[in-house]
Order: sequence, then C-alpha cells, then structure tokens
Amino acid sequence: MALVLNEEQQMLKESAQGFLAEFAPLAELRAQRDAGSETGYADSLWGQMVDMGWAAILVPEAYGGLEFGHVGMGQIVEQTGRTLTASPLFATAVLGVTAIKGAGTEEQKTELLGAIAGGEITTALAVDENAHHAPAQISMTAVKQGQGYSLNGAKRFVVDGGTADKLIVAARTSGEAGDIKGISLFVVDATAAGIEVERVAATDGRNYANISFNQVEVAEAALLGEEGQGFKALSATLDAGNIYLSAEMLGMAQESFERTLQYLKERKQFGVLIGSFQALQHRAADWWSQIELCKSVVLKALQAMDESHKRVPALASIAKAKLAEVAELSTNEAIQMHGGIGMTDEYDIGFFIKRARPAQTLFGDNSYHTDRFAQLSGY
Amino acid sequence: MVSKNRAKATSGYALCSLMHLTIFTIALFPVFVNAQPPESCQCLWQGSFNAIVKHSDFIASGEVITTKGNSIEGGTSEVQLNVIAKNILGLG
Repeated sequence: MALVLNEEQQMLKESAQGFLAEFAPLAELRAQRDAGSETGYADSLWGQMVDMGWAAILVPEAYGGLEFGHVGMGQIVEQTGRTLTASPLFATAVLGVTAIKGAGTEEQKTELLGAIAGGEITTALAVDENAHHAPAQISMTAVKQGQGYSLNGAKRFVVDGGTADKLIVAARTSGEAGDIKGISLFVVDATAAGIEVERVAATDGRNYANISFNQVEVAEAALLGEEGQGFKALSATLDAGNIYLSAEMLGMAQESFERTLQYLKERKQFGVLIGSFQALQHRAADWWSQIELCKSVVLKALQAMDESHKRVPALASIAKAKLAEVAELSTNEAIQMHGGIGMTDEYDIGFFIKRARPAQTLFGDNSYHTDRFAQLSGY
Repeated sequence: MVSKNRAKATSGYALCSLMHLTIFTIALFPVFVNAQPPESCQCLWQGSFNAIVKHSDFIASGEVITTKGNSIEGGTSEVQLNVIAKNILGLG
C-alpha cells in the first residue's frame, strides 16, 4: 500500500490540527502545569474530544463506534504530539479499546466498547511491575475464589492510573514470572476495595500511578476473555500502544524541528544569522532526514494494523525503536541549537524533552525494541 | 632492516598476485553459488558476505566492493547535507 493518506484521513488530520490549536495549544499545557493540575488537561477537553468522535474511532461499528481505522487515529495522535496535549485518548481510546476488542467476550465488548465510544468511562492498562518494561515477567496473582478471583500484587507507572474508571489488569492465573502462558486480563473498577493508588510525578506532568492490589475480590465476569490466554491480546495492545507512542513522538520531533529551524533563521550571532553556519546546517539537515524516515515507519505500522498484517509486532518494534531514537535526537538538538535560552522555562522548547523521555521509555525503549525486533526476526 | 622490509614487500606482492589469480580463475570458471538463500528471502545471500565470498560469482563480489566508491560518487554525505540545508530547509 502506498505511504500516503487518503482524502478522509487528510481531512481528519486537518480538523485535529485546528481543534488542538484552538483548545489545547502548548500554552494550555503551561497553564495546567502552573495550576498544579492532577491530570495535565482541562476536564472539559475530553468531553469535547468525545463529542468529535475521537473516543469511537477504533471502536467497531457493531459496538457503536466509527471504525475509522488506525491511520486516521494516528493522525490525531501525531497532532497531539505537536501540541503536547494530555488526555485520556491514549489510555482509553487506544489501549482500552484494543485490549477489550482483542480479548473481550461479546457481552464485554458490547458493554465496555459502547461506554468508551460514548465517553461514559475511561480506562487504564496496568502491566509493568518493575522498573523496566517486561510484559512476560508478570508476577501479580489472580487466584480463583468461589465465583470470582482474588487479585494480589502491585503495578507501576500506570498511564491515567489515578483517574480511570476501569483498570485493565494483567495478572497471573497460573505459571511463573517469565511464562507467556497463564496471564489473564481483568477489568476491575478503580474504586474496588483493596486498591490503593499512589500518584507518580513525571517530567511531563501527566497522570501516572503506582497501584497496589490487596485481596481485591472481583466477579468471574471481570475476566476479559479466557483464563490464562491473555498474553496474545496484551501483546497486541502493547504493539498498538507503541505504534501510537511513535506517532506522538513523530509529532513532537516535527514540531521541535520546525520551531528550531525557525529559530536558526531569526537568531543572530557574530553579526549573522546562526543558520548560516555550516556546522548547524549539517546538523539540521541530518535531523530533517531522520524525521523523513520516521514518517514512513509510523505510517507503515499504522497501515499494517488496519490490514491486521502478521508483521505488526515487528513493525511496532521498528517504529518504537526508531522514534525513541529520533525523539531523543530531536529534543536534544532543539535545546542545543536554541542555546542557553532553550534551557529556560520562558521558552516552550524545553517542554518537548520533558514529554519525550517518558514516551520513549513507556512500554519499552530503543534498546528493548531493537532487541525484540532481532528476536522476532529469528536472531 | 631494509632487506626484511623488502622481503615483506615481496611476500605481500606474491599474496596480491595470488588473489588476482583467484579472482581471475573465478571469472573464467564461474562457480555456482552454493549458499543459495531460501526463496522467501529474495536476497543475493544471507549472513556475512565474508562467509560466502568464496562461493559468490565475480559480479556479486564486484558489486559489494564498489559500494564504497558509490557512496562518494555524486557527492559525499557532507555535500548532500549542504544541498538539503540550502534547498529544502532554506538555510544559508
């Protein structure tokens, strides 16, 4: 398939651009931070996004969604990278929808996907338990008890963990940490007895949490899909997550590049524009070339998800590995080329590095995905 | 000392002409590539080129050897960066 957007996808991209420029520009992030916001976004913002149908883009039509596809959703997420907009879009409309769509029973899909599309609930995916991303290393337990399960364990760095209505929790019903088999997914009410939520402060000012589960009793209906078979859906959800994080980082890379390029054409030093120095020209040209590559890998990965291509896992790792690398390059170069003033809070350019670092690391960094790609390729 | 160096140079020359002879032989009697990659791979070879160079034909070897030259022909990476900076990014 050609690496281009069709007319509808292009229109969605432009409408997202217009909406975010008006309601969630970078100045809004600064305002939220200064106000000490717990979530990193204004409460009304998510409502507006739901009204525009963004929560329903990945939900199939049969469950009340728009079924517009990943390439379209990718354009929106890319734009949120340009404006550094925080919202439940990633944790709910991407991770929540993908997990439920992939693992849920017919009743669960009807109930939960419809509620997400309508903006009635938000979700958070609780996977990692240690400092590094390792989805197979889950040791949190779910023990069958009467008509339900009892959950025990702790999850770290859960995106939107402090605000979501439903937690999608990966726990072990059999086997040991490291086994792919024996992992089950559960949908748990965030208010259930025994759940303790501790907010985690991160450089991007977004809403992360460490969550502990102490004898949390859930009904059998909370099990998403089949017992012990959750890893496949979890893995597909993480692939989607990584591709959308890549799309977001692509937006960040492009925006920080464009802002820096503009600065090179304005800032004078030694009586001339700094953009006239070959040392900076070469760095800018190399940076631009890297971003061009990134556009292709992200679009290819989004298209592959729409086609349910068998290479989605490999493409997800290619995209995440490359974009983590280029997001790091972009945010470093942006500050370097701005010089000392790039370090000040007065300039917006510093916000990009603060969001890029958590986005690079979440669900596996460059090293993790380079290694995963090698393993998937038979090395 | 001088004679030692000369001896080295002579043996180096001998090695060099031996290599030429090998390449010549390969060119004259095309060796069939026995490191055939599987069809699904759609590539000339798999793995390190060093490992299969003995079995590759003259054209494939030449192809690999000239890539270094190709990277300079038409402008080195520095020249290309200048072109991008001036014509795409509008700098300078």
